[in-house]
Amino acid sequence: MTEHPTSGLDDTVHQRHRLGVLTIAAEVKRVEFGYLRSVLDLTAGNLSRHVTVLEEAGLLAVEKGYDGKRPKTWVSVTAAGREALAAEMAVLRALLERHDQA
Amino acid sequence: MAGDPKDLLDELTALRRRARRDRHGYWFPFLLFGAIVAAAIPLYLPERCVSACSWSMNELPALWHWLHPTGQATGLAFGNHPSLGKDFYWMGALTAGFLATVWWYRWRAGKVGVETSTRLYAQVTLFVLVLPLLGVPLVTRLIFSSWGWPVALTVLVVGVVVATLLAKRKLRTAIVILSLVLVAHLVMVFPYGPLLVVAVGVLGLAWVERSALCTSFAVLFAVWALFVNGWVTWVYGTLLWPVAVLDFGDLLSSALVLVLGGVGGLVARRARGRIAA
Repeated sequence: MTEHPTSGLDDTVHQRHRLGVLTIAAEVKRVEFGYLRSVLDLTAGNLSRHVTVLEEAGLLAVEKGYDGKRPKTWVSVTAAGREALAAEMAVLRALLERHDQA
Repeated sequence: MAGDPKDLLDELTALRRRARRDRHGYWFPFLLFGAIVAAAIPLYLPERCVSACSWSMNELPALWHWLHPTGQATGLAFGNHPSLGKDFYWMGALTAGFLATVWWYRWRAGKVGVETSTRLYAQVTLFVLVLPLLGVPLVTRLIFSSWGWPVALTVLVVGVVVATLLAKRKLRTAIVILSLVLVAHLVMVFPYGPLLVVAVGVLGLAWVERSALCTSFAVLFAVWALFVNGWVTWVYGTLLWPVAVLDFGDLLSSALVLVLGGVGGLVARRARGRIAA
């Protein structure tokens, strides 16, 4: 018997907003915290928690700096993050296929 | 939360598209390089001579011969001849354009919040800027003067093979290196060779931008740059342009393609902004 695709879901990545952060970060070289907050419609505290979880899992790299006097936080995806995102997308597509066949 | 995998995938696709759209900034380099190409037109206008124009390759300085070891096609206009001034203009303007493009993407990232990677663009453009100036003259001299072609060609082939073996994507690397070497050679032979450097640059931008409009204009410009250069170099007896624009049609049309690409990018950006609003 083949395993159900849901067994391939990664709890760290699967959360909707974390998937959103990874998807945006994978599309660009780096993304600013404020951009993520506005596009994902999250509060700074919520986004910060998600980013910390992904950073601790080694899926994101966080870089803090300044633009003039304004502090800016830049986020970029790591190679592991790219792989995790690709794996998650593959699982979601497999789930969708299974759903369509049923 | 989008519980359905289809809804979640659709949501992620929309996010990816939005991030891609927001980081697009190719309109500026297209307009900039369009201006650089247009500004070169005065350098290519035939000299006004009192009686008959005449010039000889032997009058050109040694540096010109170093840069163009296999000569340079001149096109139809006899009063328009090769000069170091043109080489200096292109070297300076293309380097400035390249640096301005890298600066533009960095500056824009600070404003928009998403940054496009310019590493590939920088690598490829530096390669096609430096290779014609140093690589082509050195290799040509090694092949024709110092070592003789059997030794020099073997060294060149071994160099390309080693670079390819070290790379992850071997076939792609080999094709890219050989294409860039060919482009570098043509840059110094074709009368409008520097357009090929611009073509490689905008194709590199199209690769990193992943925009259909940017890619269309980059490919159109590359094909046009090859076409006008090929026509001037190899087609004899048939004029590409009416007499009124004969002296500047090649550069003006090339600049127009770039400007249209830039304007198209700006219009597309504004139109999408309006839809999003």
